Amino acid sequence: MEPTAASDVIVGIESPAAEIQDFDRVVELYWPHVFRFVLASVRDRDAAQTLTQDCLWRAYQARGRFRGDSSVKTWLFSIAVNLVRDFYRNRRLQFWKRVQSSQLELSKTSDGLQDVSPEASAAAKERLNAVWHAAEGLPERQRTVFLLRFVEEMELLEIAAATGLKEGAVKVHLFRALRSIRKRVGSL
Amino acid sequence: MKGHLSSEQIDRLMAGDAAAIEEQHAAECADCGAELARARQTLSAFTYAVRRCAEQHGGAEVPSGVLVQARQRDVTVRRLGWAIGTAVVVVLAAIPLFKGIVDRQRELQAQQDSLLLEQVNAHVSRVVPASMESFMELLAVPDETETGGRE
Repeated sequence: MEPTAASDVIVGIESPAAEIQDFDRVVELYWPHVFRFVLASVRDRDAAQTLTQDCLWRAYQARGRFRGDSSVKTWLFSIAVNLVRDFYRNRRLQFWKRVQSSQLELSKTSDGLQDVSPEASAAAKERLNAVWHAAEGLPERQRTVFLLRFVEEMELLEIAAATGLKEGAVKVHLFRALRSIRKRVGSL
Repeated sequence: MKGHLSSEQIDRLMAGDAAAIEEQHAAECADCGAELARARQTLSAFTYAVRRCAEQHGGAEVPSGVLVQARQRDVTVRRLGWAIGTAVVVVLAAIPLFKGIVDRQRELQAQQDSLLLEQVNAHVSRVVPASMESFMELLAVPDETETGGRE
């Protein structure tokens, strides 16, 4: 089961500026969040681990400058978004890495699809994989916004803060992402 | 609102960018509500599947030593920063010293050059070649003070 959202655990207990001081706890709480967003973005386990580590290292270095204007989660995701962007920019120049692009697949298990017929389950799995592959083909911003919304379940304002976009722009990117996914998948 | 929501309107609803009338229609129309629910269900299954996938790839727990590595990296970067800073200071301090040496060398060179120039000038301004000088001394006409005594 998905553990309780990290931000929910600490909101109201301490301010973001105070929260960042206990960095061990920050790592423990946010590693899974950052890792899965990065993994869904880059589709490569090793790269995702390295980028997540880089993200937390940068946060550790910059923790003195964190003023608590946003939540720690949003702040970490803004670092992660930039790292993923840099990763794709660098990879664009490394054609051999593009050729051997990782073939990370979604879980083959039928968890979460109980109480449905095998046919319906197979169709649902097929649809999920289609969404997964369609998301990979999205332009960078659309993919980022889509994953933050539908993997991390972040609010539009949180996404705006993490990506540096305005809320309206987030809605537009999200809408375009959904449109292209629907076009590629057929129907959601 | 007449008819049903288009797929574009459904997407707009999912993106949180729909007009109030579309939201109202989705709430009232069974077909559109079902279509929206189906899309939401697919995406929530997607959320679940991605999270499972991340867990299976080791995303649920923090790899051991991440913080230690981060701190070590921090210390290394700080040391590197100090080393670079020290190197810059040393270079900056060495610049005037080096400049002084270069200036002194230039001065010495200029002195040598002017000495050489004087020698060249002396050589060039000779009336007769050096090998002829002793001969010319023999031929030298005695000056008036010497001859004056005889007369």
